Amino acid sequence: MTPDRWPHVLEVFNAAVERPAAERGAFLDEACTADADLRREVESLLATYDDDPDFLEDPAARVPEPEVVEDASLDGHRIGPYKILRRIGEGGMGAVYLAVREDQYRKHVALKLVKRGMDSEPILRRFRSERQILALLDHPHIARLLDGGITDQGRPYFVMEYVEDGIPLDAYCDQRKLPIAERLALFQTVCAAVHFAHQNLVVHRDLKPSNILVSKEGRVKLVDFGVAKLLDPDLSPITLALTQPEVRLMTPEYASPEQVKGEAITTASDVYALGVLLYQLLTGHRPYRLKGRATDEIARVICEEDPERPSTAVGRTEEVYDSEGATRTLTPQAVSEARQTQPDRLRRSLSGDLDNIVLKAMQKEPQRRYASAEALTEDVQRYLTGLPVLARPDATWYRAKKFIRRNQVTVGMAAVVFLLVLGFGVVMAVQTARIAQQAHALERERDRVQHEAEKTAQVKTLVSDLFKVVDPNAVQGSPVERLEAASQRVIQDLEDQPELQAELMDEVITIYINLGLYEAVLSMAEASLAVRKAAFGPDDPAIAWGEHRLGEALHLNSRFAEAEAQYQKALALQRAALGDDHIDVARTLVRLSRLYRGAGQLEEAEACAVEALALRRAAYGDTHPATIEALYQFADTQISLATPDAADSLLREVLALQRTVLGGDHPDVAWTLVSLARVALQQQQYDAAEAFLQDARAIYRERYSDDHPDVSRTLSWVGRLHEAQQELDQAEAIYRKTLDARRRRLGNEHTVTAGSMLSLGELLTKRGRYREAEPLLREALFIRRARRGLGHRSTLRAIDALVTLYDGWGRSPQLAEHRRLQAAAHRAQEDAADQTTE
Amino acid sequence: MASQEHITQLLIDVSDGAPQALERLMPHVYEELQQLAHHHLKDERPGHTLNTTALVHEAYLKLVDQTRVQWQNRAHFFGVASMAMRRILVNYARRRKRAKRGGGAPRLSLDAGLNVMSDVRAEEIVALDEALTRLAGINERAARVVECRFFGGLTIEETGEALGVSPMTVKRDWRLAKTWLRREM
Repeated sequence: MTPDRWPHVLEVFNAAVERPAAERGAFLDEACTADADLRREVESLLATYDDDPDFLEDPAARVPEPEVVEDASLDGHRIGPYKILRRIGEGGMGAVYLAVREDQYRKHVALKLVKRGMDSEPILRRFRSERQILALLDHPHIARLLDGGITDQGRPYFVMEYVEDGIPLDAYCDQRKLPIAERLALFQTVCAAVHFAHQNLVVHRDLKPSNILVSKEGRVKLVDFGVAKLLDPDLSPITLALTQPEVRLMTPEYASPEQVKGEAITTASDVYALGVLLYQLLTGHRPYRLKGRATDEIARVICEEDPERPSTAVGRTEEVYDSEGATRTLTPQAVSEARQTQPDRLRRSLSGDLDNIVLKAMQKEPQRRYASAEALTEDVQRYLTGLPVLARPDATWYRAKKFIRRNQVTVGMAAVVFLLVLGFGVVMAVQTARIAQQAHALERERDRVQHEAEKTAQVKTLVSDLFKVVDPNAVQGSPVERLEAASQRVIQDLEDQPELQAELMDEVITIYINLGLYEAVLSMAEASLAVRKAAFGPDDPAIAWGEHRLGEALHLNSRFAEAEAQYQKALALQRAALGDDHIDVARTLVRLSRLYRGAGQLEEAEACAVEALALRRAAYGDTHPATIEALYQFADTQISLATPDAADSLLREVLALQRTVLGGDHPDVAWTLVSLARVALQQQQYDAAEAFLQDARAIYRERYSDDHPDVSRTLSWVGRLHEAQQELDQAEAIYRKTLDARRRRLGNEHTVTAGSMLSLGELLTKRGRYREAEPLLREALFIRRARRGLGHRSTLRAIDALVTLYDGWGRSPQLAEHRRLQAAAHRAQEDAADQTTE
Repeated sequence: MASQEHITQLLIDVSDGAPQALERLMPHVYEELQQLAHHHLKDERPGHTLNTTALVHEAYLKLVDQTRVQWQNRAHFFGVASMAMRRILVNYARRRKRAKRGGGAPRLSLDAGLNVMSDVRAEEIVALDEALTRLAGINERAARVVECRFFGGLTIEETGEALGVSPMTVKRDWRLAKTWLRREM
């Protein structure tokens, strides 16, 4: 519309709107004679107006009416089939009422009415999709979610099992003056319930004392399981509290760093909240003093500051707020009296193991916490029975890592050093645990401590050496060259300490793998194995590990036959030295399964995956990341072995587990999505395949550069999807892009790069562009033949492609030559098959 | 922050038709409104209400010396405040969209607590702002009416006072403007 038209339109439109719809036509006939444009404009506006006359009628910022006003009117009212008896509480997301369902039997339930202002539609949608899962949470210590619906006013509500006279766990412990051991026992009950929920793929997301009620009979019940996710799958309780300010601000103390940052919420977030809960049960204090701080300050404290050790916190005198909002003064005397002890004794009983357990559960990085709620409660059990606990205080090298972060060394290099230092810490911790298990006598314990101290000193020097390398002014060369030079030097310096030297080399291998420096991986793995062989006896597990690593190195360099032999050797050594059911065996089996899968030996791949899965399930439980990795490996073999439906449902199971345990934006989730896309493509479900691939690409986009091998893998499936739908131009463009990326990232002679050449070559053949296709297919054949051997099925695919090409092109001599090659390859394949049967 | 006396004088100048006074008044109103909103929303007083209308009135009481002004000045203040509210809410909606796109960006550091809008609402507000700018190119008064009604939360009468037109005109402008915007969005 132009400015000069506005007054006319204003006039006619307003006049028309005020007339009944039936008279408008006649009115417009008259008002717009000889002006068809005006009429069209007004008619279009009238249609819009009738469609939504209330548009913009609500001002931009409006906050719901206060809850109190309608509260009184709810008493005695009905919501769905429920009769409201009285209000029993106020949560962050809405008020909670005591209600009865009269049409069945007079049973009390807790009805939670969601605040006005929250989007009801999505909440209900999520409720419908999650209610099955939540209904499965049948556990004596979890309050069941019974029902849910929407009120006449359009507000969602949830109905939950009611805990008669339930009081929050912290208040219960204080009222009864429970000593530390009894508090720990209650805490273990909570952990067991949380772990049960995790196994059923439900993360609580809002664990805190007021959600953990104890009934008159002393029975613990966790309430609100899964409710936070129903209300908003993206927001954590703390962000919810801050973005819904009319809601009483919930305590942010239980929110983990990843929740505060808006990152993926997983089972590890609940483990963190359990750590805070334990802190509070043991000390009466909260780990951080957040009251009255600005929101961004709160975020900073949660993400960066180390909490005070519980044994130190009990010596503090401070004002605290209880869950009812009242203040009281906590003194060392009062805290210890509530635990039937004296300040000094309380401090001593917390100092050491309990400090370490709490702080491990509350680590900033999820992967440094206990792997599960179960692992946490097991460590508490170890403390209670007087065994050494697994939790250890933050080590020097870990603090060094934080130092680097604060001082912002060149980001890339810092990452490398983090990894080195962090990985080292993990190895040490594992070893410490191993030794601790064997340490029956005090004497050995003392030796261990001394040994540990020596190692610590050595590591300190190493780290400082690395710092020198990281300093960009100190050494010439690219960061990678500097890293290589540094690790070489550090490794040489350790010649008199072969044990430590081997461990460090192993860490360097991990770094090289992550950087994609596969040739360097190989030479380091060879060197590491040599060091191990010189330092350890032939039956030592360290040798087996060295053999395994060399297998990985060969595998990464596409030397498949040697890699297989190497894995088998490692496996035999592991089984002999550690036993068939040792967890190291599982790692080699997973790799071997992957290798067989790539080679097309599907039955072998399946057998390895099944065994690895059983081992990891037994050692870690169903929801551990390592178990999920093995489950994926098994599912992957089923893509070709089982029916597509079976493969699909297996992969979906893996996907659900990964999303819950690792978080929805983890790269492993993307990997599984691509596999699901493959299955969908197999079944010609193109829309589903496209959706999976899109989700996968969205995850990768956040994390990986465009030429990352996993991105190329995803893209190549997008290409196949286009090809399957006869969108050949798009398919060709994508194949070319993938080929470029792989040439850059993996090199010209990698078997995976050859896969891209084949895809593109086959497509070009199909389009009759033989001259362009020929060099690609010949290059692919050359690479496959050299890397995989003549009899391998992937080599055969290249030969088949060339036969099709020359046949279509009408080149008889070349066709004859490749037909002969084809026959030879089939013979080689049969020979290989015979050998395996023998 | 400038004194109440200074701001009151600027307001009187605006009403007397001095356009440069508007330019100088605007930042003060903007800042005050933002602070008020922030203060209200981070405070946890139970059961308090907050809406645009209340905010605008509160800012007026705080910034302007009531003894020196007449009802026309008050109306002009509301007009200016509506513009400021538009800017605050649109800025907020943009940030919210950006944070959403950024994924991992901390959501906590959003300054004023005007987080009462959902993501869908934020999308809407940004789209509305753009459409409103186009509308101003066609009919300035209609765009101002929308600003007062929707962003400032003013009534038909208050809007009329702020813009110096009759309530009937406001009503007619409002009806066409919001319909036009709805179609544009």
